[in-house]
Amino acid sequence: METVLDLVDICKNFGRKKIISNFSMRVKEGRIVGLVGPNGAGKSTLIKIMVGLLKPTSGRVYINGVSLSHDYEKAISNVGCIVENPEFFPDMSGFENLNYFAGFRKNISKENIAEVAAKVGLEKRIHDKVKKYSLGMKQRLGIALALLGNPQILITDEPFNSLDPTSVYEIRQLVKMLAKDGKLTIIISSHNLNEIQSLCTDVVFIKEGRLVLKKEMKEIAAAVHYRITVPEELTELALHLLRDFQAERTADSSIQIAVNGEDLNGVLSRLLENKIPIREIKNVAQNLEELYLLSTGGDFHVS
Amino acid sequence: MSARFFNLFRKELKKTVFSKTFLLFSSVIVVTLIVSLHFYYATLDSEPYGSSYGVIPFEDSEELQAHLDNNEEYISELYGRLEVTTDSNRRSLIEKEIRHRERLSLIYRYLQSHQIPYSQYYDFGSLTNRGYEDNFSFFVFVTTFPIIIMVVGIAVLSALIVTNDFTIGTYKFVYTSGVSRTKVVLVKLGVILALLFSSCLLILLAGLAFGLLLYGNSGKYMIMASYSTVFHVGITGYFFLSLLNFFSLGLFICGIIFFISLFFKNNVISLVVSAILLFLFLNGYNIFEYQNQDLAIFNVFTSVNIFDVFSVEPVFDSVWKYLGVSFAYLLISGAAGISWFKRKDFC
Repeated sequence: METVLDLVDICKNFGRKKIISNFSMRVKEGRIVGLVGPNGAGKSTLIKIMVGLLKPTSGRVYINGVSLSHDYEKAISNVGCIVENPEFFPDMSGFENLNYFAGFRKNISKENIAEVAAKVGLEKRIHDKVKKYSLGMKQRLGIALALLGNPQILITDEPFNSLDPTSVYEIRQLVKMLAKDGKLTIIISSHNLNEIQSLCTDVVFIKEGRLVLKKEMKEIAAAVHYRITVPEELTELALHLLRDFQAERTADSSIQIAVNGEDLNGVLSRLLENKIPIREIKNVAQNLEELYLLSTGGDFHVS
Repeated sequence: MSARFFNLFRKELKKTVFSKTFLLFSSVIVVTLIVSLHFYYATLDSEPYGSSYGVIPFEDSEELQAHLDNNEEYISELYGRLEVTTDSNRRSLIEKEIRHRERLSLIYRYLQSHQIPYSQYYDFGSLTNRGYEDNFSFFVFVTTFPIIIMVVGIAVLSALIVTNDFTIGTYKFVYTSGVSRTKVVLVKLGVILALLFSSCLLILLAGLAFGLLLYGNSGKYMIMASYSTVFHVGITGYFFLSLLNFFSLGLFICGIIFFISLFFKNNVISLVVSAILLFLFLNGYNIFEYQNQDLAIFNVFTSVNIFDVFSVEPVFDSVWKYLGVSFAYLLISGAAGISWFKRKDFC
């Protein structure tokens, strides 16, 4: 699978305030990536940088290998996006809005517009004025708009925000349907961990503008996160010994590791064989929510 | 590329023409035009030259020669007074009067050389002060108010065409939809210029059609005088002159306001700034009355003025120069606005 989106060392400052710090991420074709973080973590800023609404202070965005800052039109032609709440011209119908925005893309016919409207389930209301649309319908119209021109990447910012349960279900089904053939890469920023868990193939946690964790969802499902405490002076050695388990140092100099039950035995044996005493083993996270709280500094432990 | 650009232009034009703002201003312009035509037609017979326009009693060439001789005599007398006057204020008044009288002679000689008969209905005071004589022009009466409303309307649209996207929130689609910011802005500016030109054309065509119906194409002279030249035009000539004149004016005002909206990206602020600018454009000549005339060409509020384009000691003695300067301002402000806009963060 090819890399379709590559963020390289992105930094963004507003005045003296650092919003994004050295954020790097690669997204492969066909993946559904959930971008998760607390309020003010920089998710929307990052998404606006990905689509060119904000210019990074430093760093580069590549879409299909094309630099967004060097050849914006070519790079962005592969992206469909909905940033924050989708807003349209209220006195125009859904169809008129799509038709207007179709002018910005190459070779989009009225048949294409009708096709995307049907895809998002708006064919019966597409000729109604947008001011009569519910938020869920606007969200679907936003997705229809983002899909005009068959983009390779769909970026949606908080698509479940303020939606009623029925609309959440509809949007979830829609995203699943879009992702079915594995050609469309989708990036979803959301607070809704349940939705991220049920939709995404990968999850990225962001906190204070930094990437704190990037994992495949299946790794999270298969592994339990343990925190192993060893004497502080031996932490470096332990990390070195466990490097093939992708062990990480925590703020309190413990070692955090995500493994299944069998691998845990291997981990412990390797430490003991090297005469590293184990002072404590804690099961700290088993699901996405616990992992999120753990990674973003939430005070949550499973004993 | 060009087909896509044209397609985008067409869609932006359609959206703007069907916007509430455009429909509102268009309706007001149409109503004002109808009211102006009605009033002009209704009062035709009460005017001294009224419906006899074109057959007004011109006086003979001897009358014109007498006026010219009297004026020349008075100029000599003024020069004599100037020689013996030492008081600076008084000298300044005499010099001003000489300037006025010399201009009057220029006009008399022009009438003579073009075999245009002298008429008591020419307002020579207006010619030497304002620069044009409009007593014979129904055109000014019929088209002035619609044109002013049109310029204000297009100026408002210039401010809104960019800022509306930021107020509504559609900028998130517009500026991520695969066309660079520069091209989007140029398309929007193109729409404003197209609307400006077509509105000017339609209003003035209505005036022209009315004039041709009423008086035919042989209509009498509208005399114009700049500081150094005099010329005259008929109905059709005045139509083309007005078209160039008002298009230049609109071009300049809309260009500036459009690019101000690029800086503010906010409906209210852009409209307030636009209103202040329009006020200055309308009244600039009075506000900056004492400015050094050599520098006046650089002051946009004196050089571009709705009421005083051919004004006292006019800055532009030709509409072509006026058009050129307007385009130059548009290009400079355009380059600055786009350069700022394309680097700006859209939060």
